Amino acid sequence: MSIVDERDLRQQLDGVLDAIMPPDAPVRAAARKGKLIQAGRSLGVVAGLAVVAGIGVGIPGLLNQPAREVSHARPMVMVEQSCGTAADGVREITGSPAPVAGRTEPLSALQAAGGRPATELAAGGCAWLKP
Amino acid sequence: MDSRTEAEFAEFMHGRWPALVRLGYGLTGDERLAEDLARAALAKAYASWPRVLRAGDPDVYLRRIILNASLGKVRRRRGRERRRGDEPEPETAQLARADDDRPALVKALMQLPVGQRSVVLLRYWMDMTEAQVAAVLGCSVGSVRSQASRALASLRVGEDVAEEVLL
Repeated sequence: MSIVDERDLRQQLDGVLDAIMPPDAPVRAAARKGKLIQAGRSLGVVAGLAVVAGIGVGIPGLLNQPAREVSHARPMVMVEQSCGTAADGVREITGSPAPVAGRTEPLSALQAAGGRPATELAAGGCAWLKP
Repeated sequence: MDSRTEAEFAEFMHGRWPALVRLGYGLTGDERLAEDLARAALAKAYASWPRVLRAGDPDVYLRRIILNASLGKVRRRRGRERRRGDEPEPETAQLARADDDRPALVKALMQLPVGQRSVVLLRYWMDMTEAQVAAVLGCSVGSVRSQASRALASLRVGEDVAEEVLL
């Protein structure tokens, strides 16, 4: 067979496709499946709304959390070296010792470990905190 | 959907069903697959029936569903092939086989890319204008024209090739 022109193609397509005799339209089955699709969409909408509502309730709660209280206790810093560069696993403290407030230890323990409180550092010394 | 709308839907679908299956057959070359595509199109149309009616042309909607489903099938198959690490088959690879008893025109259609196949079916079987085909496929009239021209050229050549394969 061969296709001569558009008209010929139309005729051949008619001949081939019109020969297909489909069974009856499955309208009921399609309606059932359509209802399932609708239900799925509704479920998706409800889930989406729930997520939005959760975000709406959760985010302001997180934003309005009271700020964590800052300890005003005088921090104590373990001093291992008076100068030099930091050894591995040791962090240098620059400026105020306030950022290490959470790492305070009893003075007696520090002293027992051979350390000195930061406040006793000589000018120009380097303070080091054990990680 | 109330009972009156359901009845309207049923009447509409009874009227369109044969054409939908035939369009599906032209796109897939497989009657069973064509019925599956048409059935899925009916279900999707049912799920959105009020919106489909509001849009004004339910036929365009149904054809678009079938065409998209057919395109989706091709994409999914390619995705599977890529995941398996196979060389992706060309979408035109339903080549003629010796045991293939489908009409020669269907075999030739299956060798066209799915876009060209869609244009051929809408333009030359459904007698739609180029503008209508462009609206259904969501492309420009120029694209429809060029795809139709390429498809015609391929069909003229391709059929000879298909016949040679069978000999």
